[in-house]
Amino acid sequence: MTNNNILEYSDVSFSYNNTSNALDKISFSLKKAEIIIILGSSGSGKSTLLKITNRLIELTSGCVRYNNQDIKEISPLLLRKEIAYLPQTPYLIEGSVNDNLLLSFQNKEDHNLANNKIMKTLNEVGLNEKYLTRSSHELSVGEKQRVALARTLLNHSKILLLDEPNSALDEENSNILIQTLKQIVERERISMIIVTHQLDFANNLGNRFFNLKNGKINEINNPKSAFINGVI
Amino acid sequence: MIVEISWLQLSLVSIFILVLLAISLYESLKLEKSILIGSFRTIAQLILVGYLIKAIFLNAEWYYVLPILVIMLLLASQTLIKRLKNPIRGTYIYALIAVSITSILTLIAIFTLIVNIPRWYDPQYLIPIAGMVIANGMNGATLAGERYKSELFLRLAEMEMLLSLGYNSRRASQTSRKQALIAALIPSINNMMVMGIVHLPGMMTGQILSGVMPDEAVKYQIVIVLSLTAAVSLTSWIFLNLLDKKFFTPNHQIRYDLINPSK
Repeated sequence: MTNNNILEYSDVSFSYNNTSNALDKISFSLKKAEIIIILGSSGSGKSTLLKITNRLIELTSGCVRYNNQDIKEISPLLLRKEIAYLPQTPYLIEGSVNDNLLLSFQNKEDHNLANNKIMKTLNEVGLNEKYLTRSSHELSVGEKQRVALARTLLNHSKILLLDEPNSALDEENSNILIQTLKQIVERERISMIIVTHQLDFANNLGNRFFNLKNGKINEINNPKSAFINGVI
Repeated sequence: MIVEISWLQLSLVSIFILVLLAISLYESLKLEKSILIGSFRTIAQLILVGYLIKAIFLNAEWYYVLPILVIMLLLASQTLIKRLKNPIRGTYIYALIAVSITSILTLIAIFTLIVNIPRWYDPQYLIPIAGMVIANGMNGATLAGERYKSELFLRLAEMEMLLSLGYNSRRASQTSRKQALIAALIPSINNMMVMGIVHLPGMMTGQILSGVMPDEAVKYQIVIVLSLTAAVSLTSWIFLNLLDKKFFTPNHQIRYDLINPSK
């Protein structure tokens, strides 16, 4: 493993109730400020792979190393702050956008200091201060996505795991998301693993591409080949 | 002096069973079998318990009273778990701990602070009041446990979000626990609201029928109602906190297999 790798998967397998492997000896690595795109049909184990990475679920065998350390040796609570997982449908709690963003400040004492950081991060994801008081129910899917992203950024995560972030977005919002994610990587030097079905989205964002089929992963040069080979 | 009921007179309760059967037959409720079994069990169980308690009253020794309390606790815990849909292995002990701790604390509070009985094991006081405390705690914890499980299932996305932000499992399940406690407490709190107006509780009615003056019966009833509501909250709270450990791994991971058995 080179020092440049922030995350490395070695022979990672996962099975539900010891039945056939949902993930079968997955090996690849992620560099700092790199965006890896994972393509694959539904049920191919993409979400499982992401959830294993920040120990929302435990891998069955193999090893994932974060900054050269086996993630099993890292407290899951710390690991999840470093490696953030954003599900396909972002979940916002009832209340205002501000209430949702304050969730990233676990100590109540930090709430007073939170305002400036919240404003800055909200701008980074393309929302203005008027959103702070808006109820989470009023937001469109694209706006919810961005609030959830801001909440994760406020948590100072080093790696973002995004599960089909654009699946519910129209083309315009999808393009906004691409720009936002690119800016975040440039500015914060954050690494990302993004699962997606959509070719344009993959092409516009990814540095490297993998396809996941029947629990096995392969690197591909061009996301198009995943479509041609019928992976998606 | 209480008006006695002869066995012959008691047999006339069959009128009420006939009313039940008639309605069930007329409306095709198909409840006849349950009504007959239920009626028979009520009569048989109560007569049996009546003789048992009478025997204990006549031999009021702690070594007769204590085993009865232990049996009540064991049966209540078993009923609590049985009533949960898809009960989870290893939760019987949680029910037993919750019901036992609550009952012991509540009974100690009642009989050392409020009602000074000559001997702590006096069956005339201890058995009926322990029965009510245990049964109410059990009912509350059943409601809490059932609601907790369905809240966890409904709130999977919320829990994943909180865990992903680095919160511990206790915080992730906090809202579910809160909703479950509310569900357990609402019937008791509603009951307190209408106490004495709409609802004349069984114990007070029983005491009045036995010749106790209503003003004295009321004092007992106040002790009972408030202690039972406290018992409901304490049993549910302890049970939920123990149950919490079942639904998450020590690494703050959701046990999807228990919350959503289809997965």
